[in-house]
Amino acid sequence: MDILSGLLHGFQVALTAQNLMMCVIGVVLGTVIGVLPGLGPPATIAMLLPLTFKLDPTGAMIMLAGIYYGAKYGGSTTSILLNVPGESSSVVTCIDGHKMAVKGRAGPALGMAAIASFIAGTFGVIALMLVAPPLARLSLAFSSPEYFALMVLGLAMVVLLSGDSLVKALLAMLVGLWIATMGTDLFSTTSRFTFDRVELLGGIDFIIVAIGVFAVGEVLGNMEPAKPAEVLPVPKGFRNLLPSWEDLRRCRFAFVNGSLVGFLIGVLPGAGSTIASFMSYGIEKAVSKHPEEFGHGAIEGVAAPEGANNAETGGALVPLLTLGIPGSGTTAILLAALVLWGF
Amino acid sequence: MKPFLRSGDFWSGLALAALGTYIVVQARGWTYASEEGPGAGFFPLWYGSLMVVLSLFLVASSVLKPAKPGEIRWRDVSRALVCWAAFTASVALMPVLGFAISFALLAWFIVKVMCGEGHGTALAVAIGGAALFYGLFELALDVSLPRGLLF
Repeated sequence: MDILSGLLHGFQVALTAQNLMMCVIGVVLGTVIGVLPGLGPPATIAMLLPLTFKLDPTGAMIMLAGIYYGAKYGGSTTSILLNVPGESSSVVTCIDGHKMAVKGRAGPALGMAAIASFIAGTFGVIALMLVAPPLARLSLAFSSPEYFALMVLGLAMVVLLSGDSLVKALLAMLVGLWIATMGTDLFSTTSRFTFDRVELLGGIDFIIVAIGVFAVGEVLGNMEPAKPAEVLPVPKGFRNLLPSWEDLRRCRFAFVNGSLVGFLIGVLPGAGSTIASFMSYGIEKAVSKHPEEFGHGAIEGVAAPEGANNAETGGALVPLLTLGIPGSGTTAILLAALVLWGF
Repeated sequence: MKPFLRSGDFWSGLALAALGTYIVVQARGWTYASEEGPGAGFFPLWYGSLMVVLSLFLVASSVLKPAKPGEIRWRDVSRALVCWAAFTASVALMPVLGFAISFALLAWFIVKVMCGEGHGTALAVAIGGAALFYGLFELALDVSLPRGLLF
């Protein structure tokens, strides 16, 4: 009954015209900033946090939550249209999302990203309300061996994404591990592969590598004179701007997959939405009846990672709201905002 | 020329084997393990060794089962390399000229020289793009772009 009375009070506070307007403003701002490649939710919230100082705390928190969800969704736009990931968890959306856009199905891809984000985000919020305390205790049970196993599982997804050559995929993964090792080792403070450059002491951020690989590759590919610059075909008719009923039917498992994987990964402090999106994509490809379509414009390859991306938001709020432990950079900024307002 | 010498797998395998060897050599200079647990050299030693093994496998497979050599379009390759060089030069010039001017020069080069568009289009894209970035980051979001000696 406590949960129900708390929920009713929460809805009573949230469903006022002013707070709903704060939510709309937050979502729009978050989506617009999230579209910019390289600017993910942490940077977006950090930049827009000063805007909320003059608001009342409740409205400000609602606006920040709207910014959080909007920025999570916004990253898919450039992934699909430009093959440039908007943030680190939108990298895997580039694989199938852009292929769909090249085939003239950018509208359904963007629409499916929005629908999957909405469904999984709603699931994450409901799960947060209902099962936050026991899940928080479970997340505390995770320690170094479990996190290591989770990372190995994420790397094992390379097998599912390898395409024709497993050896080349593994070599690419090892090069990625080398780049990730650059910088200062956290435990021994040893500088590894910094080539005596001060700039490399802090390591190389993942999103910079992702943008470099995708965006620069896209520009270099368009330098070929043998073919004209690739202009995405514009779909004709309003119906072609939205996913079809068949698309929605195909993605019904992807919605469940993205919601569950994203939320559970998000509960673990430090796991991050990037691994959630990759795992969701790998699971979707593994159980698909048409795995050969993945990598060539499978709409499930957009729905699953984008759903996981947004469901992770609800999961990340579990340790923050129940234990006061920020599980990610974004929730750390939210915690700072809560402290500022005296919560 | 032997067919495997024209194979990209052969040369990339050799390059990765060299990289893996470098990683292993560096890792041997760091602590492998201590009482507290794995040291700085633990992880690099393992993935460096695996990189050497897999890359030599790639080299061997390209030698034993050479793929049909594809046609290399050197003009396209040179255009991509020129574009890459322009990126590099733009980054190198940023500490001197700042982001706005470096980006404008890069944009002008790509639009005018690489894409063959007219002077007006190239200037519009260069100046407009730099102004857009400046307005969005410096003015709207209050985020500083890299500054140079001049700007």
